[in-house]
Amino acid sequence: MDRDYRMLIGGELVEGVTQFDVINPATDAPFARCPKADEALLERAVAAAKRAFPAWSALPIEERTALVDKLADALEQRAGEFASLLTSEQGKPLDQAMHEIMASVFTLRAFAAMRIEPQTLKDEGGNKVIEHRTPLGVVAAITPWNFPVILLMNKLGPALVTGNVMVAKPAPTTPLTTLLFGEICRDVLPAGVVNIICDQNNLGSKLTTHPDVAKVAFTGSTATGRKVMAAAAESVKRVTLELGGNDAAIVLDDVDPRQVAHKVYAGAMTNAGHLRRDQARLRARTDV
Amino acid sequence: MPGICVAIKRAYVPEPMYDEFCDELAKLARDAVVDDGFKQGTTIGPIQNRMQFEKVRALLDDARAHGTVLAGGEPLDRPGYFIPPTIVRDLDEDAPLVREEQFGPVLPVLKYADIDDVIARANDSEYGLGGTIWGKDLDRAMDVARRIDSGTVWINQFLAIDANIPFRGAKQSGLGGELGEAGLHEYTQAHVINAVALEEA
Repeated sequence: MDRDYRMLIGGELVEGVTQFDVINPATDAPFARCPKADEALLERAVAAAKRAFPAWSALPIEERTALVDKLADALEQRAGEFASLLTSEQGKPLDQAMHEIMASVFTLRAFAAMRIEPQTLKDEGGNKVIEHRTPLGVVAAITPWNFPVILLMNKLGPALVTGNVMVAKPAPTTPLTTLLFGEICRDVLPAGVVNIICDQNNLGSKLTTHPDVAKVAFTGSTATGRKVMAAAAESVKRVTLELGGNDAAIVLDDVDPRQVAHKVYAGAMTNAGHLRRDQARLRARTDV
Repeated sequence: MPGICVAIKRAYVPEPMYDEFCDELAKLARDAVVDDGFKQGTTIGPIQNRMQFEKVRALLDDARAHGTVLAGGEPLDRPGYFIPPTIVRDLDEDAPLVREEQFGPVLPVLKYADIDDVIARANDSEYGLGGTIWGKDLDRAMDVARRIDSGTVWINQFLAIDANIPFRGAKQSGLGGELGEAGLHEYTQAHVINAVALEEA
C-alpha cells in the first residue's frame, strides 16, 4: 500500500468518495486501494468530457495523432512500471505483462498512423456526393480484467484519433494500470479528453444510459454485453461489443500429432502467439 | 491462456491420433511452472479473481466426475487462485466444460471421425469469436475454416491479432469490431453531403 491511485476527471487527479481493496490473485491479499466514484463524480466525468469535445474534435487530425503518439511514447518509457503493476493486479507472468504493455504501445501508434479520408460517392452532371466521417462525442469505454491495458487502447486509440472524448471505467479487480495511464493522459492531453472513473460494478448502467454518452465500447461477458446493448437502445447509442467465446481447435488428420499438440497447448494455455507478432512488428519499427 | 476470451477452449482431434495427442498435451501440462507471476520461469499465473477461480473449480469437479483428467484437475494447495494446466479427455459434447466459456487453463480434448460432424459440433455454440484449424494441406484447411461460423479463424497459428486487422465476434460473441480501419470507423458517424447547383432562376 505504498502508493495512492487517483481517478482522472477534467484534467485533475481526484480521490474517490470511498476506496476499495485491490487483491493480488497470487496471494489472495489486498495490495492497494482503489478510489471509488459515486454518481456525482460520474456526472463530473461525463460533463468534463462533453466540455472538452468541441475543441478536441476541431483540432487538425495531425495534432490529435501527435498526442496519441505521445501517449504511446510515455507508456513505453514507463513500460516496466506498468508491467509490474499489471502482474500485481492481474496475475499474469511478468514477461506476458510486459508484452501486453508493448503491444498497447504498438496499438496506439498503429491508430495514430491511420487516416480516414472523405469518400466521393458520386461526381457527375453537377451532382457531387461526399461521405465524411464525423466523431460521435463522449465514448464510454468499459474494459475487463483479462487484458486491462490493451483492451483500453483498442478503444482509446481510435476514439481519440477520430476526435471523440472518453470516459473509461476499468474492471474493479484490475483498475490500477488504467489509473496509472490516467497520469500519462493528464500530462499529455487537454483536460477532459480522457476521464477515468472506478466503481465496483455499480455505475455501469448509469454510464450506459447517460444522455450525454454517444457510444459505449464494451469488452466483457456476453451476459453483460446484452445489458449494455439493452441500455443503449433507449437513446440509440452506438455500441461496440467484444464478448465471450468458446473457440474450437480442429486438428486435421494430415498433421504430426506431437508437433500440433505443442501448438494447441500453447494456444490454450499461453498468449505467446499474440506477443510474437506484435513484438516482431515493434522490433521492425525500431530498426527503421 | 487463463483469461483470454480467444484462447483455444476445446480441441477436436481425429480418432486415430486421439490417444497420442492427449498424452502429449498432458506431458506439456505437467511440465508447466504454475506460480506467482513475479517469479522467473513462471509459465502460468493465478486465475485473476476469486469468482472466476470458483467457477473453474466447479467445472473441474464436473470434469473429474464425467471425464478422464490426464493432468492438473485440482487447485494448488496454497494461497492465491492457482489452477494448474488441466487436460481432460473422454468428455461428452454437452459437458459444461465443453459448452461454457471458462477462463481457466483447462482444455477438454474431444475426438471426431467425420469432418462434417466436427464442423457442426464446433459451430454448435452461441459464441463465434475465434477458432483454429491445424493441417498440412492448406487448401483443405481453408475450406474447413470457411465453414466455421466465427469472426476470425486462424490456420496453423493462434491469436495472431494485429492492430491493422479488424477483430470481430460473430453470433453472440459481439457486435461491431475493434482494430484496423473498421475499428476506426466504429467511432464515427458516416455523414453524406449530396449537392447540386441551384438552377438558374
